[in-house]
Amino acid sequence: MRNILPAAVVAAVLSGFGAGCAFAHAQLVQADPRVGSTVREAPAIISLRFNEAPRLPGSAVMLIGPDGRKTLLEPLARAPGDPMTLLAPTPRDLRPGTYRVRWGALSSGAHRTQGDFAFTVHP
Amino acid sequence: MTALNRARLGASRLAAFAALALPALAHAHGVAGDRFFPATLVIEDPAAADELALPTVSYLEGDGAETSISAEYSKRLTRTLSVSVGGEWTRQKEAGLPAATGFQNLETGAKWQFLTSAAHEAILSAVVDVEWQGTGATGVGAERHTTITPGLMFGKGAGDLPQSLGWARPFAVTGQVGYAIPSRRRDPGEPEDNPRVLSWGLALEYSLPYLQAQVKDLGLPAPFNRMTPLVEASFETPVTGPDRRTTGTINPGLIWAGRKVQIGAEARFPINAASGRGVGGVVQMHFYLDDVFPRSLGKPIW
Repeated sequence: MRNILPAAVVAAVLSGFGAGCAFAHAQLVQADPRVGSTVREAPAIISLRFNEAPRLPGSAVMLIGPDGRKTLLEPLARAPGDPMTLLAPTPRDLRPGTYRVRWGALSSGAHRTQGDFAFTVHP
Repeated sequence: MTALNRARLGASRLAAFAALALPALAHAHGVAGDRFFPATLVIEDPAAADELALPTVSYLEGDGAETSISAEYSKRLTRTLSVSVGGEWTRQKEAGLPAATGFQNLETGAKWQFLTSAAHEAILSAVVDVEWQGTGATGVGAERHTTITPGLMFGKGAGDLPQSLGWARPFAVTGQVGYAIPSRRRDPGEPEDNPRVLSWGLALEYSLPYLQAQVKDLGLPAPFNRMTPLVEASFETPVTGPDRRTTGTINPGLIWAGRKVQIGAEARFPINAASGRGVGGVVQMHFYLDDVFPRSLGKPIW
């Protein structure tokens, strides 16, 4: 019995806190174009998948071009059937070069997270 | 476009600007800009946070084998000010002698995270820890005097390095320095004065989540995509008294950080014979209470 009790406690803790926890806050899980990648065609949409559904009011995505020009990508939308993925439309005719994507997200727990990454368009 | 629609668009742009420009104002635990600093196992981390380290289990051999099981609860009073309370149960076993067990003195602390720089991924904190006399067992080394330790802590991410050094941007370093002052010069019946001690430590981290999300998506699978390899170094140097040898351990290991909990494990290598023998270890489960209870226990009181 004494051996079973600690194991049960550990199992309960892991099931309560561990099973449902994949990541910390609203963190970027995957992006398309991928972080640090080079793509042949300029993307029409930048897709950002998070570990939890970010709130749309309170989240934003900015694209910084090779010339340093900043463009707020809007309107942001959720991917159909996937509340954890934000879709950000890009301006038409992105020129070849390296772009930075700067994002800010507001999680359901009211925590703000942010990040940025680069991708390169090289036909 | 109607005036109403224009107003809505303006509000929407304002909110979007705020989301990009103001993330540090409502930061989560251990976050400075793009950087998340996981809670370190051996040295204290610089962030004021709602968190619970339970348990931390440590083992190291010296004159005998010492095993300790400890817990620490930290609660934010304001967004940047937290208080903590911690306890540690110890078992000491020397060859040929019966094992001694008991609690170390109760420890409390207050931490003020007085600087957070999102742009530079930097945190600076001031801390005062107090170890209270008479709350632990002297048979396992609990001091017979109160010890007050004011100190400073910092965290600095390398995210502001040039893009050409992208591979190095996941690096971060945290550190602490404290000065332990005993409440009295000498305990009754003891032949020597209580020393004042400089405690200092560093942690060098390489965040794989940062690498994946900010620099280069290598397609690392779970659980590796949430791991942070690190090396912690913790030292104590008496600055008064006859024995002024520095003792400490070097602790390489891994932290896996989830949404509500992190799990860490490190080996412990004593730096000299006075610090211990062989290889020890430490493991810890650490709960982010601001994520476990975001609307109650995990919020600052004020």
